[in-house]
Amino acid sequence: MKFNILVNEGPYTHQASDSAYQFAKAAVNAGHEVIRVFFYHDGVYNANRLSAPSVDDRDVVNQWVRLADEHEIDLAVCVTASLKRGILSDQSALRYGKNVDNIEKKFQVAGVGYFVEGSIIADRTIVFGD
Amino acid sequence: MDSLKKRIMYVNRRAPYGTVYALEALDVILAGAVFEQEVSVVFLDDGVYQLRRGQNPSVLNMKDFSKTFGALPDFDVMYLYVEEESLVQRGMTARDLIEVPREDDTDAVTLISSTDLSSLMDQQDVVLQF
Repeated sequence: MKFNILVNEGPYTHQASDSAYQFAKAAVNAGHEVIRVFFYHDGVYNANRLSAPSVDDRDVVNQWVRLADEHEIDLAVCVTASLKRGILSDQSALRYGKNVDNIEKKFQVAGVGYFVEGSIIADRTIVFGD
Repeated sequence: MDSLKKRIMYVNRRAPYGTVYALEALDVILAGAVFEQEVSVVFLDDGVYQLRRGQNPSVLNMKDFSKTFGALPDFDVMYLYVEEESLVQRGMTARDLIEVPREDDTDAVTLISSTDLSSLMDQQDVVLQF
């Protein structure tokens, strides 16, 4: 089965991102396909490569990256949701005159329509939020 | 091609202000319209406040986005379902809601009972809750 996933909360305050990660991992391990994980609302903070959790805690950003690498999962953050929250690609940083970019490179920046398209392609869309 | 269309239902369950979910859900509906699927929007629980007539959020430095719902029929969203029970629980009636005229002047805002709503949900391919 093909899954499309939406993550609506940031890491560490809400469990949504962890639950989505555990779900995605379980799905691919059970032989299913996760075609896309889209990050919306505060979910865009999951793409912040400047996140530096303590060594005895899970690294939410990197666990997404590892899972995506291992299983060719498409990670995407919403462009408008991320811009206003200060999650910037190198191109956006340049364009808006900011001196730093902070998107983890594994995440692509896309319009929210990309998520809707995922829900049309996939067999199931699962939303993780508060 | 119609048989390939998916039935997508957006379920708004939160008040329009206080959190960004309602506003960003509307962005998803508008962005998703380009895919020309069979779309309906539901207002449930505190989500019914999103269609409250006479909003004045400018005192909160927020935009009154309830006007944007009026554009939904232009995006082929012909049904804005309001769950009756949620409305009644909040001391409101249909007269407290904005009208969203379709091209033929009928109102896209439609009251629906909890029972009918659950069978309608059952018929969907995708249910997205915000």
